[in-house]
Amino acid sequence: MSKNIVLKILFSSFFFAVCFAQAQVEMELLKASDKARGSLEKGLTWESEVTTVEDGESTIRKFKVKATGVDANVEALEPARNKGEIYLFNDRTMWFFKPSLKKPVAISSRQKLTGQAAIGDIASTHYARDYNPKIERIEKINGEKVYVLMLKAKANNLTYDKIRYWISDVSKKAIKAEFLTLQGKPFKRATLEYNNKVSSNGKMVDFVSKMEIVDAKFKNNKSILRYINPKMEEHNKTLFNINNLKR
Amino acid sequence: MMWTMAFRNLFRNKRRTAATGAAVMAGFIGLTLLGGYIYCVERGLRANSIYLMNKGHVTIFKKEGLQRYATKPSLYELTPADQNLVQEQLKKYSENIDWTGTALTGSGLISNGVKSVPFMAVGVDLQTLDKSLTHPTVQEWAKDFLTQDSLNFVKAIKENPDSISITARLGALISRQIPFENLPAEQKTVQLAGMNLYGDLNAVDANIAVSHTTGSDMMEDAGLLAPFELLQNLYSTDGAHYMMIYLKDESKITKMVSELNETFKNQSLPFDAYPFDDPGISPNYVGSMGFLYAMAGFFVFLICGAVALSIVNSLTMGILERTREIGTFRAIGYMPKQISWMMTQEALWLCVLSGVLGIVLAAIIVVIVNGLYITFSPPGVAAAVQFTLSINGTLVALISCIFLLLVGTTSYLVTHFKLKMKIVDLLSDSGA
Repeated sequence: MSKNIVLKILFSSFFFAVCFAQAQVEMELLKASDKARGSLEKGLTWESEVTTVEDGESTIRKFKVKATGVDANVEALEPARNKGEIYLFNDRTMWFFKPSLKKPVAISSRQKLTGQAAIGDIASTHYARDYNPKIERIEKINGEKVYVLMLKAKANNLTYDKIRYWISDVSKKAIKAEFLTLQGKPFKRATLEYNNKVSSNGKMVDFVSKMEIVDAKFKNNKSILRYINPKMEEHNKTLFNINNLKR
Repeated sequence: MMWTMAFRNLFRNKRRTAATGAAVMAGFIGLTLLGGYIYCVERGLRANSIYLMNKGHVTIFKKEGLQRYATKPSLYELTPADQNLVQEQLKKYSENIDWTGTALTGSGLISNGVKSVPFMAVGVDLQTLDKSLTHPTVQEWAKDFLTQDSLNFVKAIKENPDSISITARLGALISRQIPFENLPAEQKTVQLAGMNLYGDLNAVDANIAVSHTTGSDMMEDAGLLAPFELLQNLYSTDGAHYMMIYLKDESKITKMVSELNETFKNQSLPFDAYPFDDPGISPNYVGSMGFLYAMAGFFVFLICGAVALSIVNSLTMGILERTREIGTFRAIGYMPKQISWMMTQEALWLCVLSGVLGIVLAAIIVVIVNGLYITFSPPGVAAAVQFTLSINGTLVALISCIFLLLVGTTSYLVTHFKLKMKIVDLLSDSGA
């Protein structure tokens, strides 16, 4: 009898240890992939060009993104009518400000910004902070082992509720994503390229250069985000202080 | 002679005449009051929809704009050029047009500087707001629908073009409690954010001036009224969602809508004209009136049935009692048709007398009910309105005609079939 109990305890401990280790692996994968998409502790600056094609009409917008950790300051550069507009990210809180406003506006992560790209896509990505990962399956893409993770939102105010995320085992970078509805059906699909390099801890690491987001239903509607000239840069904390945006 | 005899016959069995007359009178009162109530509600909801909900008698949209504007406003808005084209077409109706207005609708977020919540906004040009509130039709039929806040809102816009009106519940969601007029200046300032027609996020400052209610529980958490220009600024457009046309003569709405749509079609102009009572324009008006008309139809059927049965019952009893008398009439040369007509005249006399008494009683009930000032909240209306009854001359004439026709036909048919008996049988009938 006591032998059985000991065996059960041992078996349970082993099972929980395996699960814990598995969860650790999944989270490490996600953290590693986030680094190539701007989630670095040190300051990072890049320009983002968003080309949106919707119902045959094409528009181009440019932003300057300054990110440090979980904070980001996204300034609109083009078109001229949007120049001076600022999106400020303080952890998960997001603000919109333009010079004519008396106070900044708190906006939801779900508030669509432009075409298929949401505001959350333009700033740096912190999926490891916002989502719980779970390996769904392992696939081979172009002969490369790829983990397919199902990311479930930790909070209900995030841009997406669920994301299916393909992370390369070799490079530890996300290569594609499916943004899912609550019912689990894809409504947007994204592919990512990493042709940029940034210096991190004295090493040159790959950084995202292009993200193409396509509407799952209307395939001609898409947004292409180009990440231009990324560089490590220290940012003053005041840059991310909401009080500095008030008139 | 026959009419006099028929009138005198009414007093032969006073109790039965009184009972039948009471049934006819009750029916008459019921239909008069029901009709009067529906008339009052219709006029009130019509004035509310046209003037206070700012839909106009005729509403012009970009083609399919009524259905699709929300999904792609840039494609379905009425640009200034579109508005000029519409105005060109309206020139031939200028004699009947009181004024035209423009409106813009949209959604977005209202922010108090700390948090933001969604809103659904309607912006109407100041001229329309101003003229609508003081329009004689509104004063006559929809005075109850008019709130002091509506009047204050116009005043506030004149003083500050950034003034907005929000519902009390929307105010509570951004920590602003009514009455908004008493809020300190800093708390009155809020920001409105929304996707503009270029697909960009835009925001403007606004000033909470007054509160209002939408009359719809679903919309109470998001209702926002703003000046037309403020919404144009927010959505970065110089266009409008729709144009409203206010007419002097309401009877020409259908003709005008039909002609305008024909012109738009013939000249390949991308516009649609709708009357105010289109379900897409005034769903509350159409829904409420549809329900009232269905209810009225049911009551008319019941009342007319009860009146007809009372007449049948009364006449059948009368014929049974007066079989020998009828036999005598037949024996001295009266034709069955003449006797039927005389008995029909009796019923018509009864109907006229009951009707006159019914109108008098209905008028007394109207005075009493209106004097009690009973209020209720119909769907889609901002404030509680008075339960008003009225007596409409046209309606009374119509109901009188219906009753005379009903009573006349019923009594003629009953007597006609009853008088088919032979004279001998009539004279020898025991009356049992």
